[in-house]
Amino acid sequence: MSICVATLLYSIDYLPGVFSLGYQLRGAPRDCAKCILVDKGLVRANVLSEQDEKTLKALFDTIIYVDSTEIDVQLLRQNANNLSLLGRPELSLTFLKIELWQLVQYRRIIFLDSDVLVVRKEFWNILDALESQKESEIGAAPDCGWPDLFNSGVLAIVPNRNDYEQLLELLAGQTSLDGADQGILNQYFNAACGFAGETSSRRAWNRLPFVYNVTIPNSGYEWAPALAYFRDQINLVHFIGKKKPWISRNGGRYADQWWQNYNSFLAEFYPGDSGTAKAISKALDHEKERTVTNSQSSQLDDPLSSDLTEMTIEEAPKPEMNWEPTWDATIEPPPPDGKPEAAELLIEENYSWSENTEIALPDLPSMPNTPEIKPVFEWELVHNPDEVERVFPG
Amino acid sequence: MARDIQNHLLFEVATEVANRVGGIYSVLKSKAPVTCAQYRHNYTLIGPLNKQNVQMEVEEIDWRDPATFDGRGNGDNTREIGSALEAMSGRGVRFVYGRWLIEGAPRVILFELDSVRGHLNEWKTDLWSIAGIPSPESDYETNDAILFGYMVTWFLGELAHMDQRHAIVAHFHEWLAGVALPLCRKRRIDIVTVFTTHATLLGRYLCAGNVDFYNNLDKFDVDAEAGKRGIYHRYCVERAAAHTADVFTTVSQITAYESEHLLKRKPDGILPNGLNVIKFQAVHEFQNLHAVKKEKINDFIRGHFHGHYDFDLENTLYFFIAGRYEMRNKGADVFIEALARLNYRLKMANSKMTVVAFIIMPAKNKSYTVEALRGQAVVQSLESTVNDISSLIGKRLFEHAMRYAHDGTSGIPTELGELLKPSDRVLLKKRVFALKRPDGSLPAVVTHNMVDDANDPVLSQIRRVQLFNNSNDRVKIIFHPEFLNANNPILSLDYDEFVRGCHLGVFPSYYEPWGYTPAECTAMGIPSITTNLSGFGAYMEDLIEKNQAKDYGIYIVDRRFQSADESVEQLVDLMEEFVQKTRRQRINQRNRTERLSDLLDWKRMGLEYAKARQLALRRAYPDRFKAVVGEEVSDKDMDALAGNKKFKIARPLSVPGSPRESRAGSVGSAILMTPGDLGTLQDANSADDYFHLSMGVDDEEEDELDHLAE
Repeated sequence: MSICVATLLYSIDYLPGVFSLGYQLRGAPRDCAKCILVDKGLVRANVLSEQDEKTLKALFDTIIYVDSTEIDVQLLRQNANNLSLLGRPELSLTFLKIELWQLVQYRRIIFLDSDVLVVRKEFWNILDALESQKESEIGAAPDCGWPDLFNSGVLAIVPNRNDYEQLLELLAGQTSLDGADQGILNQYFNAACGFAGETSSRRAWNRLPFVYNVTIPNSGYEWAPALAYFRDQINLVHFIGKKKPWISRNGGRYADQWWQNYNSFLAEFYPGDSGTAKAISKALDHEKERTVTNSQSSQLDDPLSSDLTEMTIEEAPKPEMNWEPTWDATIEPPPPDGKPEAAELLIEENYSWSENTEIALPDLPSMPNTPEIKPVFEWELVHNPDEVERVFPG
Repeated sequence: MARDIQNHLLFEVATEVANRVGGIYSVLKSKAPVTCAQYRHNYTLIGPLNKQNVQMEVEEIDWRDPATFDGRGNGDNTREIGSALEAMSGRGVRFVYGRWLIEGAPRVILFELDSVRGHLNEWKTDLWSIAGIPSPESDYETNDAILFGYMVTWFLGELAHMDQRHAIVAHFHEWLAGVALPLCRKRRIDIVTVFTTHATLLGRYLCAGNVDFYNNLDKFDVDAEAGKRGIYHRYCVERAAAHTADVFTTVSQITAYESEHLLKRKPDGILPNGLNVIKFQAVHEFQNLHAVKKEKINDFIRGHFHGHYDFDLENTLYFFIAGRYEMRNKGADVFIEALARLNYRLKMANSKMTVVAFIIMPAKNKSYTVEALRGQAVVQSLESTVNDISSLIGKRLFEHAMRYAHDGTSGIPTELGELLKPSDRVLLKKRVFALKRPDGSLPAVVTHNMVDDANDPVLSQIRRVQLFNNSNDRVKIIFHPEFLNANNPILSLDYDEFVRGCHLGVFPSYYEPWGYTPAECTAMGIPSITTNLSGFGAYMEDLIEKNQAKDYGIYIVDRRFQSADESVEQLVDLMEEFVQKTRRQRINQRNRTERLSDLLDWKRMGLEYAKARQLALRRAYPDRFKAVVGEEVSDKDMDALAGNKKFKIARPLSVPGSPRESRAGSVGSAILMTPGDLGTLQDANSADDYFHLSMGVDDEEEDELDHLAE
């Protein structure tokens, strides 16, 4: 096989993403292999369970393990500043994408981020469109934040040793403009970045139409009318930003479509099992841990709660619950159209003392059959519980 | 013989008795003088023994000596406490009995959990079979709570059996002390119980996550949420305690609402936290303190901003936020956002004022940065050089003048060079050069090396809003990720000194059951900003007429009916308004703020505790209660008992309150207070001594009370 569609799993937070993507890729043409790059660290740390690995094997033809520990610490540090401008420190491992150029067993590779959604079958025409692509060229759609740069969520590449080594060299010598893979790939392939100082080069960015990588959310000038106009032509949607569909449940029409697909995946691979919720809860827990502050970590660190974070949610959150993540001050200013933070809180202005002189009956789950209380203290042998002066309820 | 409900025994049970962990320690410690004055030797605190602290916190007394339990003079005694301890000691229970070394010197019993650890499994089984509370193997905190709960039950059961003369009231704080409550109820022990939560377990966990907490408070599936967070068994303890107490209370309206929905019992009343307000003899003493402490902060600022010290300290205001490192709960996110907007507004207005904002929140750090220490050092060396040189100049001037009589010149040097020698100039220049920073570097935002600098939420937000202490910034920011301490090499001030030196405390909290920080500010006469989501803010909003709170130096940001963005905007307005105040207005405001502190004194707040105990006694012994109070128990009376109608405070008083007037007649007993005896807020300024602490205590007893009061 000479063509391959590939994705990357470098953090367990994206597990629901790759599951869903793998499930969507079943529509791929027969001559196209499905391949996933998985960070060895996830397996080593046992974050990725055996069953999850099995599921990946069922969804993808090939699993290729790559080692994130080989990414130079110095390199990460050097890029950390730019990443923090982007507000996404977790992206540091995306450099693993460069490993794609090493997969020379394939003639060409279509790379998809795990947070993309294949909207139309016509997406596969991308293979024909790039038939003539050569080494040192890259196919990608423009980034909606800076259209002179391309977005690295959807890539068409021709793997080869030469580019691989030069990319590594560039990575070691230069700081990525955004601290992650997208920056460095642009610096290498995109003439707008000046080819990192080189004047003549065969390197080229083949510009794919935006419909191959429609990034949402989007608040650009032309977005709303263009969306209405091109809606039928959208091939692929890319959920950028922190609010992945599997983390926040209400994200509009494409997020709903993602969920439909994910739910049918779950029904097929985890029937009746709530391992589903597990993937979500894992991602959510992870998310939460980030926000839980140091002072609380003592409670979270105890062995018990770490055991129990594996516990599954039996049922999906009730529909009226709003699980929308609240404002994250480290990333953005408070949303201008946010809703009141506690409007539904009905506290009593004048909280007065209860006037009830009866003792309240405990509203607790009743024990099936109230057992005889066995004495555990010495005084219980002489104490007659019926001869007390005070009043007990009930 | 019937139990005497008037002259009852009071036990307060908490894990933080003589053992500082968090806020409950402060509550118990500051409340002790009031409670001791009321109960004397009938008051005992019960806690678990912490061997490390006990030497520093407690002075042991001989509990085998019956005289230890004798009341002074009135023939009353509590010898059964000794007997109960004797019985337990015979069974191998170890404990410390003594006086807690704090003002009021209350008696404490500290049980050693290790001495009964052998019973753990037996007791866990019992807890499961009588109350259905599970307890996993590895949760040590819960295991200790269970051991402690059974020891307390053991003791109280023993005591209730031996002492049939007194009614016994046991007041439990927080779930860690709550295991005893279902046990006492199930085993029908003849005691009266009160349970107080100072926050709920689940509330704290939910708020720490990114959950829209308040808008969904009535919708949470509590069991599932507790299970998901691995705290189901702890939650069970808390819920069982709330349901099996005779009276259930919490610290604020907002936490009452939270408890109602998360613990499924509406609290019977609220017990706001008070303070031990220190009254100065001279009214303006606290203003002087502000000036003195502010000068110490000025010293730090000169050092920290060396090389960029281009603002006028006379026109600089110090704002601060302090508390646990819970960015969202404590409102640090809103604060930083508002500072950025304030900075913009001040720049646009060409304001001459500078605001230095401190963030005092202990986060993981690796000690001070070299830069922070160096800043203080270079300024100090400049200062000492200047001192040396000026004393040399003084000498030279003196010498010069002395020669006038001989050589007939004016005696006044005409050239600076005559006074300032080249070597002095070189030295001075050297010191001044040391103040310079490398090109492009700015005064640091954080004083410490952070463990995780890149992901630190406060730093991330500061980077995002770009408050980098540039010269043209009118708002400077300093993040001090450690508790303040007078022994620290920089900013060497204790927290209370620091607060006194600041101009404004800003606490725009989202989750704050009570809120000691703004309350402490008020007690020290420092204005503060709080929110209507904090217990303190809601309490103050309730007490003070709308729109008047500002004049008293209590600004309340609405975080309930506004979005986060609108709250930020309101906070900016308030801070801007404060910045525009003249020095004189600020001084006046501090005077008024300080006057409010009476409202927060335990002498007043302790009253609510008395009401809780009364209600519990009324419920447990309805007939006795009727007989003693001598009137029919009706709902109306309960209302009256709850402290009369509330009056709101209106306009700020422009003169200090009139001299206090002691009221005649003693109401020493806990139970006989009538509405007339209970003060209202209207006379808060003239009579704040509700328990008549200064009366009805004979000399001998005063010795006891003053035992440790300095």
